[in-house]
Amino acid sequence: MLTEVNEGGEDRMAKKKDYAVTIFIYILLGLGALLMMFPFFWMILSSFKTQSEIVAFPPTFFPEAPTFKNYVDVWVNVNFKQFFVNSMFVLIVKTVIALYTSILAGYVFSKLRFRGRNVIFVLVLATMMVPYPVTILSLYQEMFWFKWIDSYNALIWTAMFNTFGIFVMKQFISGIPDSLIESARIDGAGEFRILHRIIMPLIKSALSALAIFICLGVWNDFLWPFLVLNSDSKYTIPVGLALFKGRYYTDYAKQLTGATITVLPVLVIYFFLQKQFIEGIALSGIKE
Amino acid sequence: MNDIFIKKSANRHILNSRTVMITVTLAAMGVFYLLFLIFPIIYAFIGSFFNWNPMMGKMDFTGIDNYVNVFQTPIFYKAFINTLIFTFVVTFFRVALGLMLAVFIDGLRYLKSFFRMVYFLPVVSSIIAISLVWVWIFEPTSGILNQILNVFGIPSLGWLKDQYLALPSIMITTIWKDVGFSMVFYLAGLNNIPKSLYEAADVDGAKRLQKFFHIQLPMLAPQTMLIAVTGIITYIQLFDQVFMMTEKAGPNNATISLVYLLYDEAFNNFRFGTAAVIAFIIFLLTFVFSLIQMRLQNQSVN
Repeated sequence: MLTEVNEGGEDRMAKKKDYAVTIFIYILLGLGALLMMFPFFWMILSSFKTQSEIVAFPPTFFPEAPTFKNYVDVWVNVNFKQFFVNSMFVLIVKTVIALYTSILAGYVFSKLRFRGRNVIFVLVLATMMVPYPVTILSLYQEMFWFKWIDSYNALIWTAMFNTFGIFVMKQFISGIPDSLIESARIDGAGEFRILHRIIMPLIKSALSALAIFICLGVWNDFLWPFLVLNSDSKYTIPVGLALFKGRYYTDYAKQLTGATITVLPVLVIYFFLQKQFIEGIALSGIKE
Repeated sequence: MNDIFIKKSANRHILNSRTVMITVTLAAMGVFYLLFLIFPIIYAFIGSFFNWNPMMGKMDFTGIDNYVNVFQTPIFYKAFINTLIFTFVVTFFRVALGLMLAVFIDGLRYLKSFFRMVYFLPVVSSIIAISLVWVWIFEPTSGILNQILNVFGIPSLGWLKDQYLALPSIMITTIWKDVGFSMVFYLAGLNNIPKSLYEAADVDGAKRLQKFFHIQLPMLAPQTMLIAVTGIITYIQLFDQVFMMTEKAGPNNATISLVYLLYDEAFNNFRFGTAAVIAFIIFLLTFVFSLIQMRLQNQSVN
């Protein structure tokens, strides 16, 4: 009798304790979420402040007299408009090429049989182990030889194949039953036709995840474009943004506005395509 | 007769498109990987024995001078140690905080997807833009961080301008940016843990902590391995944050990293030869960590 009552009491105690732990977790996660969002709010709100308000003491959270002056300055005078157009161009060209070559090679390595296929594939995969600092110096030398310095050729052709993309596409295309491809072949379809008409529609979701993965990489790519592009009119957004540091060293209003223009479009798209974004990033966890 | 003829030509057509596809793909890949990967590695190795300057078109043999130079400069050791410290500290927090967040968020009934969305925000953002924002937050005189500290009676700190705090400041920014990355992997891993395991534990009356140590942590070992290894290999190549957040690698080279040193040697001092030596040290480091990973993976399989 006595023990029963005791047990009931312990149970209630445990439940209460569990409840407290849950609330504690919510508070902790909430504070963490604030910490995650604060720099973004701070960046966006500051971009509507004047330079004098930005450095004022005590600081204001919301802009006292919201102004678009920074945006006009950065977009027109600093020529962010041009950087934006350049970035979009590079993004589209590089992503389309890398996606297509990934599907092509992924198909060749998973569905077409030829001598040495596995050896070649392993060699291609091994290139992922090479860190970029090892090749970047000679690549720069090559760009000199090819006269590709300050040209988008240096960005586009050096990223024509994406080893990781090939690997991911091979994984997904392997999952497509051979019988489907065989029957298309019997119907007289050529390999390119099979690739475009049968394979591509079947791996649409993997394709969009890979597209987002590649797009993010291209949009945020910094060091290589920074090294090979020399003239303002050719800069991509991150390269243009990096120059703020030198040219407008103390002009935080301009810097934060530039940062906002860089980050906000991605965040907005992310907001609507959360699942695809997370799948895209999660691709990097795929292993054989 | 006619039938057979059609079949034959169709067959030939298939064979042709197959051959064309394989040939084109392999030829293009061959050119690409030879030109932009194999040759660059070999040329960089050769270049490490030369006084190499592409801008001047110079390539003079100097023997092992570049190697001697690198190993005789104190700044190299500073960059080496900074890189290792940065790599291990950030990797540790990326694993630990990511795991904690995932376990917390996974157990929630409400706001699960909200938290996942918020913690993932910095992962999709440009590190260059993020760096600018954090430089402004860390600003010693008018930055918000010091002003918040002042409210709590803590005196202002130099952060990126302080030779002891500059590297930790960059670490904080990087951890903040990347913690959502590991969280997503851990959440996926938690999703794959069979419900029956938890049910068995519930019957045994296991507490949260016991569940964590006896079910979740061991079941998430593959994720931990992946996050740690990709973290180490990424962070060994630290550059963008150093370049953006500190002026010339900070006070007394406080934040100098191996890749920053490589960049500085090649593109400011035009010494591609010594830069190539540093490149191969980075290569070697990456290789060693990859070997350790394979070793550990084999052990965990056996």
